[in-house]
Formats: sequence, structure tokens, C-alpha cells
Amino acid sequence: MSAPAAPDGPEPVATISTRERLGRLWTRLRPNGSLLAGLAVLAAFGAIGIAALLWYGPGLDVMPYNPAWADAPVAPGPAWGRWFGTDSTLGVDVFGGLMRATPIDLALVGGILLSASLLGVLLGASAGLFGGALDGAVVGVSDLLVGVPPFFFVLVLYLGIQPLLPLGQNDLPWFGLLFALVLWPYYARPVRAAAQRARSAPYAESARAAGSGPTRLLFRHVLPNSVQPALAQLPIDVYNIFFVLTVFPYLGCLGGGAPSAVFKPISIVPSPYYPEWGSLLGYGACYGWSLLPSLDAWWSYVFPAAFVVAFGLGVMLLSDGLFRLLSVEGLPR
Amino acid sequence: MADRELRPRPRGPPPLRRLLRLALPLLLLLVLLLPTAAAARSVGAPAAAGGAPPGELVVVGVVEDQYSGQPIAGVTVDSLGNSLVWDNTTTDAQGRFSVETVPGPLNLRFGAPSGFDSLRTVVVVSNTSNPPLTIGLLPQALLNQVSGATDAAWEASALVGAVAVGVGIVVAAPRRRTASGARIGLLSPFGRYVAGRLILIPFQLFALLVLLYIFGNFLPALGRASVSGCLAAPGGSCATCLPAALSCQVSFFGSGFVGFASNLLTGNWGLASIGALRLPAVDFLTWWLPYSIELAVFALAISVAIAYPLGLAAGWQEGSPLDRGTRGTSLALLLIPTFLVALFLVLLVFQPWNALFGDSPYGLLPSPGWFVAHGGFLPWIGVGGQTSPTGFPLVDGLIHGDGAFVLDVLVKNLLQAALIAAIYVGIFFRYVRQSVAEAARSISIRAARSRGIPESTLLWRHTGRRLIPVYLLTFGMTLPAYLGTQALVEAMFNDQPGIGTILFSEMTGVSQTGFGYAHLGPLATGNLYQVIILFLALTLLLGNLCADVLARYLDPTIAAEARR
Repeated sequence: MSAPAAPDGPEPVATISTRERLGRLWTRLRPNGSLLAGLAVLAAFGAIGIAALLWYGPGLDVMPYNPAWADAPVAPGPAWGRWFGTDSTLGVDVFGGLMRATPIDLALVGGILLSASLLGVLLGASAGLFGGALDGAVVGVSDLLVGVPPFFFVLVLYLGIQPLLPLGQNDLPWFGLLFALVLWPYYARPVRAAAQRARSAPYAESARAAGSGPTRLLFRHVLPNSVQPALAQLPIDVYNIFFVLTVFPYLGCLGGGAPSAVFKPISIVPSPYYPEWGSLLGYGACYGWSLLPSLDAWWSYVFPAAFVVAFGLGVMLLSDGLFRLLSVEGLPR
Repeated sequence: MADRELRPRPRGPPPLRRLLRLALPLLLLLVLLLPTAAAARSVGAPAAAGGAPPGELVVVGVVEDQYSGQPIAGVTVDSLGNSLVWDNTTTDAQGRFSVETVPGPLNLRFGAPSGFDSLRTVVVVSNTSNPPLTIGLLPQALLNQVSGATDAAWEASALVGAVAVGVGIVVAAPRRRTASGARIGLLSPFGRYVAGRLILIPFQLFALLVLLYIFGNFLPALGRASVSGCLAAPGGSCATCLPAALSCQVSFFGSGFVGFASNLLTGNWGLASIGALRLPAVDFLTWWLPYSIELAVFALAISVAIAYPLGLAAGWQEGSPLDRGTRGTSLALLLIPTFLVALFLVLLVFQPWNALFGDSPYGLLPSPGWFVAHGGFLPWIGVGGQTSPTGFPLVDGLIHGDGAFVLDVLVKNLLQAALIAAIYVGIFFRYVRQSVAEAARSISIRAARSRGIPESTLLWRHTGRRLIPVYLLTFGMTLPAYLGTQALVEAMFNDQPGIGTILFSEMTGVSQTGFGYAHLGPLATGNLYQVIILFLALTLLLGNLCADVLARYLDPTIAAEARR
């Protein structure tokens, strides 16, 4: 940060005031509508999350159960006080469940996306820039991991380590860690290709000639010019994550509520009453369809789906905006 | 052996048992010839003549051939409840039996006539209502098929041989250089690239095999060892070494992996149980693979028909309404869970279909469930929904001239393919859009535009052709997403034959029994989901290779760029 100028001394030429910095940032961001919109959507989710943390306090991670809603043939719909209706599979209030779930989902999905993309971008850029054994290792491991659809793979790993985990604990952090380990190659591969191109680009050569060490070359020059191709993956991974969280609880009750003979439910969350968008959506859709052609209890799956879609659109807008921000201004890449 | 778990009463010398076994089919014939006598035995009637003491209950059920669904007569049923109330009876011509017991767990042993496998099971009897049991016995011919090594052993050795030849070619290829420094040898750079990629595939599969073993078998075994105190093979006795000792773990890992890998590679995949069917895994895979291939043909055709023009038109002008609209719609379709999109799609088609054709439950037709509910199988459709002679339902429907069947399969394929395309095109589009935009700004296009060539020609003829290799590369890259989507859509249409149904069924079933357990009896040596994932990976690796090779063949600059 720039030092504040003395009131009556001469203004230092090189320093820029914080306000001016913010002004410059704003001029740079203002035309970037996607980035601002994406930030706004995610900030709104963040605000909901903080409000939920403050409002519900330590009891946040269990949704209260109401037997009257669970026993009703069709769960009570939206009304004053329970704005998004209720869920008859679980007997919970959908609005309250979604609010409680917001901080949990932001931490889980945000954590997976951040760790997977950071790991992938770092490994991919290093592999592309330095080559050699590191490159071979990154390519070999990522080729292996990319060989299986990520949502199956993470389940294989997660169910595999589950017997080793202590009983009665929240395994979601492990799930997030494994998901990040499965997803990083999808970021590393395009970044590696871009970094390979950047390695021999004129700006990298001139930086090398100017005495940049490998670390500076990586972080200052090659990385910012290589991350762009990885950004398209972010919204797709939101899909991958919610696929696992939603589909596997749902499959067990496929076919309009009767337990399926073909599939068994897999719940990633510690219990069905643990608030999580995907599992609320999966359980809500279970009994939202009492018969195929009828649409009763639409509220139990439409509102959770709206949360997931809004969050995904926020991530998409953010990734588009970042893409534009990282492009050389005014010049097509 | 048919009666390895059966101790028939009265216990006689072995020759007598052999005689009995011979006599049973004759007995069966006799019973079949006397239907009136058989009908006299009502299902609900207690088998014992003495009458049930107060407090006892009657459990009824039917024994049938797991494979064909035909009832089996002459099966001896031994039962032992929790207070030593013992009963012994035999099934009638309709395969029905009834036993007396008290509330609580009831041990049932079914001693089958020759040709079938015996079965032992436990049911919990409640004192209010007990629904009739359906017991399926497996023909022994099928079990022999499972336990023996199959053609897959030959295929595996052929694969190893092919790889060895490939390695030999590349290693032996002389690497000389011309005066200008260009390499010459047995293989061109292109050939060397293809050979190098091919050689990698077995190694990648082996690494995946190790990973699947570690997470599917080894770690769960360690987890169980931490509870039970010893490392035991599934179904085996407790190992003598302590699980904490590293040497113990290493030896356990080694021996277990060899068995696991040899079972997987020789086609010894055990039994699979999907819904009410419990059959050799090989059968499920060979019957249902044609369904998946047929669906893939439709889905890929629709995807290409949408993705190619849409990707070009939307990517041509970044930020245009078409571009923004396509991206928003595709992401929304991606993020709304597939099953909701599927249900809405079915809903859209269901009413018109019902109005046009009457009672034909949508999306169920070629499934075993539909035929069971509609008066039995067509002569050319088997118990798992497999059709003959080719196995591809559409082709076989055409061969047999069954218009209604063809129409139903066709509509269902189109519906599922549209659903897959709706999701997959969204993923595909996000990758391909940037390449289109880049191509649209290329110098060659600008030059052509300056010469007055109309915009549509620039887009469809100049750029469209140039982007085919890029599309191919993107297809290779997004193949995992495609396969995953198809698997889910297949599973979504409940009771739908397809590899996806088997995969989801096995994976979710494993969540109940735990990985690494021989959860379907002594013959279930491998976990079927591991087999399918391995095959998925092989499909992906080969698909990726084909896409890459074709793209490099069509556009040599890709290879040049990669070398640079």
C-alpha cells in the first residue's frame, strides 16, 4: 500500500493513493459485466451464508424434523412462514433447509473448486514450463485420472476409504479432498498445453534474458498467460459435484417414491437431515413425483434446483469475466 | 454339486440318493401329468398334516428358475426358525411351498433337483403379514460358465502380444538422421506417435487396475481389519498376521491383487444381481451392451447435428445474443439435475403417446419388467431383454417385422438420445466455443473477408471445415462426460437394459454391502463395477486415441504445434 503523503510536503511522484487505485480498478472492471454479475451473485450467496451462520448458530447442521409434514400425503406447499413449502420425504421446511445449507455448500463446493483449480493450474503450468520428469509425472497421473468419468471415480475412492474413517463423524471434508484430487487434471491439461506454448513465447524469453528466475518466470509471466483455458472447466465442475450430491440419494427412490429394486441410495452427507442443496434436491424429487404424469409437490425440488442453478450461473459468469479480465485488453487472443 | 448344502431326509446310503435324483424328474413328469391333483394343493395350506400349534405362522412362496422364470417342482425346502420349529416340505408343480414357523428369523434351505444350484437364505418372519417369497434358483450350466476361464483370457494374451510387437517395432526402429537432421526410421513421426500412444494404453489400464484394487478391495479390508483385529480375505479365514504389521499388509496386498487381476482378466466376473435377476455378469454385459451401443449411435448423431452448427454460429460472434443465449441455456440444462430434465421430457411425450397408442407404458417396452406385466416374452426376446439374432433391439425388431416394437424402441432411443445431447452439447460447446472465436479472428479469415467473400461462406465453408479437427480433439477430451451422461440416462429410465444401469446398480449396491465383499455368494469373485469402469476406461482411451490420431491426420499443424 502506498504511504500517505505528508499534508504540506511535496507529493511523491510514484505513489498512487488507495482511492486512485480503486478508481483504476473500477475503470478496468466496469466494462466487464460478466465479472461484476458473477461477483454479485456469489456475494449474495455469501451474504445468505453469513446470515444463516449468525441466525442458526451452532445448531445449523441439523434440519428440524416435523412429523406432520412427513406423514401428509402431499407435503404442505408454500405459505407464510415457510415460503418454499415443505418436503414430505424428510418432513423439513425447504426454505430453512436451503438457508442452513448455504454456508455448508459454499464451503464444500468452493473448497473443491479452489483446491482443484489451484492444484491443477500450478502443476500444469510447472509441467509445461519446466518439462522433464515433472512433466512426465503430471501427464501420466492426469491421463490415468481423466480415464474415468469424475463422478464415478470420486465415488469409488470415497466408498473405498470410508471403512477407514472413524464412525459417526462428518466425512464431507474427505469427500471434498478426494473430489479435488480427481478434478485437478481437468485444469492441469489445458494449462500445461498453454504453458508449453508460453515457454517459447517472446515475452518469456525476454523475461529470461532480463534475469527472471524460474519462480518469477512461472508466477509472474507464464501463469497469468496460461490459466485462461482452465476457466471453462469451473462451471462444468459445479455440475460434476452436484451430480454426485444429487443423483445418488435420488436413485434409491427412483420410480415415484417406491424403493427401487435396482438401485440403492448413497448419501454423501452424514444424515438425510444434514442441510445440503444437492441432497435436499435429491430427496425432494423423490416424493415430488408421486406418479409420473403428475406434478404434485413441485416446491420440494424446484427451489433447491433454483439454488443450484443460480450458483452455477454465478460461477459461469465469474469464469467468463475472469477470462476477459485476463485477456490482453482490447486485443483478441 | 446340486445338493452340497442339502441333507435330504431320510438319510440313506449314497446309491439311494442317486436313485432319488433320477426319480425326481420322473416325479416331476408325473406331477405335470396330473394337474388336477397338483391344483388340489392350495398355496396357503400348511404342508404338515398335523395342523399348526397356536402361535405358529405359515410362510408361503414359490421357487422358480432364475434364468427363465419357470417354476421348479420337487425342490425340498428345509426350514428352521428361531425356536427350533423345524419343517420340511417339497414344492408342487407350480413351484409353490409353504412352511410353518414362529415370528423371527427363519433359515430356509432349498435343495434343488439336478441341474440347479441349492440355495440357503434367511428371511425375517413378522407376526402380522408375510408377503409370498419368490426364490430363484440358478441353472448349474450358468454357474459353470461363470467359474471357468472364458475367451477373455485369450483376448488378454492377444492384447499383451500386440503390445509386445508394438514395443518391438518402436525399440527396433533404427534412429538415423539425414544430413538435414530429420529422423528416418521404420516409422514416420506420425506412425511413431500412434505406436507410442498405443503402447501407453496397457500401462494406463494396469495403473487403473491397481487403483481400483486399492480403493475397492485393499483399503476396505484394512478398515475391516482395524475392527476385527485380523486381515482376512473376503470369505476366507482370519489371516495369522497382525494388520498393523507392514509385512503382513504387503503380503496381503500382493496375494489379493494377483487373484483380483487374474479374475478380472480371465472373465471370471462372478454373478450380478439386478432387480430380481441374478445372473452371470458376463451375460448382463453381453446382452445389454448392444442396447448401449444403439443408444450411443443415436445420441452422438443428434449431438453432432446440434453441436456442429450451433458451436460455429454462436462462437462466430462472441457476446452476440445467440452466443449468450446458448451458453446460458446449455449451462442451465447442465445444472438442473438430469433426472428432472428426464422426467419432464418423459412427461412431455407421455400424454401424446398415450393418446395415440393407448396403454403402452412409456420407456419400459424392451425391458423384462414390461414383458412380465404384459403376458410373457416374445419368442425372440430373452429373460434379460436380450433380442435375437443380432442382439440389437432395433435391428432384430426389423428382422422380425414387428412394427410396434420398432416404433417403441425408436421413440425411446430418440428421447434418451435427445436428453443425452441436451446435456452433452452443453459441455462440448463450452470447450469448442473459444476455438471457433479464435478461428473467426484469424488472419486468413480477415484476408478472405477483405476480398469480399460473404460472411456465411466464411463461416460455414472456410471455418467450418478448418474446425473439424478441433471438434475431434474436443470430442476426445469430453468423452468421459459423454459416457457418464449416457450411463446416467440409461439408469434413469428404470428397468432399462444398458451398461449404465448395471454400473449404477452395482455401485449403489456396493454401498450397502461394502466394497471388496464377495457379496453375491462364493462365485462373485470380482466386483462388477470394477470391470465396467475398466471397460469404460478402455473405451475412453481408445476413443481419445482415435480422435487425436484423426485430428492430427486431418490437420498436420496440430502435430507441429505439439512438437514446438
